[in-house]
Amino acid sequence: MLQKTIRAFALFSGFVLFGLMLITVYSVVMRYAFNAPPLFTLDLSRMMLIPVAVTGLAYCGWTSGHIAVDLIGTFGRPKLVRMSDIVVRCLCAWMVGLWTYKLIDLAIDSQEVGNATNMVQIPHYPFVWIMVASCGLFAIVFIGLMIRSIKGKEDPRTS
Amino acid sequence: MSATLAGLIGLGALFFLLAFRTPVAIAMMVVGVVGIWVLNGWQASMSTLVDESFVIASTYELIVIPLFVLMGNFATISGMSADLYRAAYAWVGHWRGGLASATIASCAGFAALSGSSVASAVTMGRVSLPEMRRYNYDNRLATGCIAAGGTLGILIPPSTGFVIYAILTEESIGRLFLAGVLPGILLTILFMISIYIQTRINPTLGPAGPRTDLPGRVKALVDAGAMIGIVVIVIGGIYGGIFTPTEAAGVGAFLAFLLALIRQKVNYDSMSTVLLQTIRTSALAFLILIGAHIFNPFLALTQIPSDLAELLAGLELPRYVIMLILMAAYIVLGTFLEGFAMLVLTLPIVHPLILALGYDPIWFGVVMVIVLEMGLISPPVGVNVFVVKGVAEDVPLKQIFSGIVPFWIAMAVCLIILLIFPQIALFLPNTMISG
Repeated sequence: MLQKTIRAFALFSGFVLFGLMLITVYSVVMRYAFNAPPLFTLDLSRMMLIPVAVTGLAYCGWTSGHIAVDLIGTFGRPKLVRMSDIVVRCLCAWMVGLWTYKLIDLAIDSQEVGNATNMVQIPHYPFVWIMVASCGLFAIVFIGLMIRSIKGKEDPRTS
Repeated sequence: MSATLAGLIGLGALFFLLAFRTPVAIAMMVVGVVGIWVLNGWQASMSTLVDESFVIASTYELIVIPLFVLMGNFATISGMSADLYRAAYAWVGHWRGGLASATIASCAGFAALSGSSVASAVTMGRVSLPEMRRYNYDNRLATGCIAAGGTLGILIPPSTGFVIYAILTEESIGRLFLAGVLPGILLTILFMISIYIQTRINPTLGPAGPRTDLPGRVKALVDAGAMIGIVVIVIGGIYGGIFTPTEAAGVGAFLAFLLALIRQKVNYDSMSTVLLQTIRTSALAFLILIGAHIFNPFLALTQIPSDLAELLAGLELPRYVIMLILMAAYIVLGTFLEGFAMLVLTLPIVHPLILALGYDPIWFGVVMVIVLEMGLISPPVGVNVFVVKGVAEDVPLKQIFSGIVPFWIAMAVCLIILLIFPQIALFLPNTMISG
């Protein structure tokens, strides 16, 4: 279930990116072929980047994509490595959980205040809620990885 | 607690977290959040956390990262890598060590479509290694040239390394991309010279392949024309001021997608693989940037970067001596720190120093990326070496590392040339039409 959700989030992000590519090309074509640069593309592109940037975080974490320096893995004993992995993943879950919690505040504020883009007034809050969902899933991934470490299982690598 | 002491404790905590396999981005977030909390209070810390993450995730210029990664992944599935290798092989395959030179040339070509060294090494390794084995190339030369050639991915534009450098230092992405072109060509030539010297000393390392006649060469070049066309449109468009880097990335990705579509390489499986790989790489880059933008305000509050810059500037050492010390430090760091990690962790401290010494930050970006490349093939971390090991499973790591040594020396020579002649990096950005 968790794995399917993570993949679904990442694929959603991928399709948004594909749309972002088409919008960029559309903007260039309109500017050069029709001398009519569309105003909405800059704002829409900025907002579409949000799901592209954050919706894949959980997938990246679940597939061990994040960069880490493996000093303890090289020099430490397996038991120490496992213990440190549990603590580190707990810390990561706390950090991302805190980030998610504060993003909820931002989403509520954005909705109440009516924050929007400059040119075509695209509201920020739906995209902040996407950030909330993505970061929440990312925190769950760290909890899942921590439980795996406690159980002594290998990291999942689903590419 | 004084700001400087808080900064030193923060840096210590950062390296402690990194040593225990904390993802680099999360380690920077933790230290940044706690550090700002200590120095400026909880409210300031939380504002930095959410505001910076929203700003980074919605910065228009950063669209360039996922779009160029997408372009590279579409180029991979479209089979352009094989076309490139065949073209390079047709022209230089009959030289002594010619297949290795063809590998380097095709890596350079693929680098112009992909901003990733790992992608370049994997893609070209799969295409070129079987050929080099067919002609009894020595394993050291065959694997060494793939690992080294792959590193051209982050020097020749588009390059994710340059984008991250540009965002962290507020330099122009377009100027940095153009600054990488001539040093990229220079390094490609130096790699080829290295192969020539190696095979001159020991001809059994890389025997010559069969000569291709002129019509065959021209045909191979025409077959690679689509790829060359995309590169010319993307890089030429940025240079000529026709596109912004973001637009160039979008157009390049679209053209690579069209080519894959025409070649009937697009189906559900390939498309989902391309999208998932692109999103994985992009998410990694964005999280690192978010982490860096939370860590950097903390570092700025401590005033450590400006104090260090003042201290070093006050030593009254010749500026090139400081530069050599910096490069040596980076080369040592590169042996155990991953390239992006090195970039985001050190730039906030080093960039003010570079400016204080009067060096051009665009030129320094190129130098830094070459040093990152050296790290990519240096033991024990050497990411590209492990990538090549994945393609050539039967070759011991020791052999791959020994095959890399001549290419590593070529990179050092390239650095020295750039130190003496910075104009090589600065010529194109200084003559671009808008930037």
